[in-house]
Amino acid sequence: MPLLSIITAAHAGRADFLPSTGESVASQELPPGWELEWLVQEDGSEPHLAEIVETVPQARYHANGQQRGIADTRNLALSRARGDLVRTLDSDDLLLPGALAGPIERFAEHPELHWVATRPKYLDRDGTWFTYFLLLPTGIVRPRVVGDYLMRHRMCPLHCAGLTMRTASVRALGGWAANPRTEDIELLAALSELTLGYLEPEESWIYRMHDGQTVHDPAWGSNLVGTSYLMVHNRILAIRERV
Amino acid sequence: MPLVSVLTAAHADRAPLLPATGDSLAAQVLPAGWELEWIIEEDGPEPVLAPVAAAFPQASHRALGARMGVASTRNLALARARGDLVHVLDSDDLLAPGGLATVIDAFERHPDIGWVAGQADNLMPDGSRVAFEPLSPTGRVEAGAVNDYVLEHGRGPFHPAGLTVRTDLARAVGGWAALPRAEDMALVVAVAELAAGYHTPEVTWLYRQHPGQMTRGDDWPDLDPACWQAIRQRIESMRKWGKGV
Repeated sequence: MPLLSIITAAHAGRADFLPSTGESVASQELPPGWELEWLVQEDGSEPHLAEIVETVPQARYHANGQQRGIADTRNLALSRARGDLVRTLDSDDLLLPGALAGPIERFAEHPELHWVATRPKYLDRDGTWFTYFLLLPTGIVRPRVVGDYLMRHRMCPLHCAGLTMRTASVRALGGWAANPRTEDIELLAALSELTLGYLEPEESWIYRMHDGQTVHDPAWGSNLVGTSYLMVHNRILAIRERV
Repeated sequence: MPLVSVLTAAHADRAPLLPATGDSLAAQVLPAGWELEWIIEEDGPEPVLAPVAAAFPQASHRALGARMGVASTRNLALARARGDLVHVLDSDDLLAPGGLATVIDAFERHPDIGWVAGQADNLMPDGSRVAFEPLSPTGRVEAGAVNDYVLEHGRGPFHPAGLTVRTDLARAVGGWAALPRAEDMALVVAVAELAAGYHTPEVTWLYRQHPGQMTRGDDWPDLDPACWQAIRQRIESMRKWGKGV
């Protein structure tokens, strides 16, 4: 039976968001024969999300028992994944109906794909919705297209929080990078240099904006952002040098 | 002029040990034409190591101003390395006399290799050196052989702390991995799957044994199995896919 593993890195501060995230997972309809597991990995030295997560039948919860940061936490979840595909879902976001079926069908139609990106629907703090702009044409994304964009604009042309990827490819690349600010962009950069991907036109998840978002922390926007993009840039160039 | 970049991730507690690390670096005699730079990347919110670094003309110190952990800190050092080779040197360890020359010589004699693993002596608290047998045969190591060993024995065939890698190879595989433990072995398995290397019979570094070592922390073993699982999965996935840079 093919399996899709949803990876959610969480921490205690997300206790109010996680029940609805879990409901959005539990209500997903998958293509015939497919199953899902929801891997929740809790960061921090005082975990307390177990009870929330266990209300979702497909959940498999584990706590780090110490503060490790998001890349380590996602990679620890990845080490537990049993699915052929992994899908990222942030602990404060929600899957829309059909969020998983679309990418699974795309992999079936195009067996050469290694990743499928989808669009978020933004929910602002005041309850208004807005659309995430696509910076690349939808459909097949050829190798180097994402890398060229990243190096030219120092900005990722896709949203990394709604990616579905082949589990083995993510593992081969070392998972999410030890990169302080752009750990997920660096993973996508490496993957998209080497493999074909697909950009879906449809929105597949709700990106909830709130005051507790990591990106609103003043320390987040430090000079580490620039260095983090430099790490992405270096990796792209090094891959091009060697492949 | 060829350059080797020595990367040291450090934090404030290492202030008493770092001068000896720097002295061991300053005493290196390199093969003709080679130069070195020492990149000290200081982790943690209250940096104190700038004055220590200032005593060494080859050193370039940067403080991150926040706690990032050793893998990210090394990768930030890697991001600003200008050398063709990067050599990792822990902030509590020392280079052995002639250590870097041995490593560079191996790259010059084997132009196709991507990495060199060094040999260590333990450096005891009383200053004495205690040799130990290499875990695996020394000499040239073909691509994939390290990982055959890892899959069979569940550990690495050498200590990853004395590693030298071609800079572009280290960057292509994403540098040190985002894992709470064995982040350096996760790098080793990636480069050693893609490229042949060399395991020096000579001692190139000194492994300081002291109570502040990170591997001595009480919580150290907890996450070990998951990280070694991730390392095995990386090897198996690279082999299945035939890629991995």
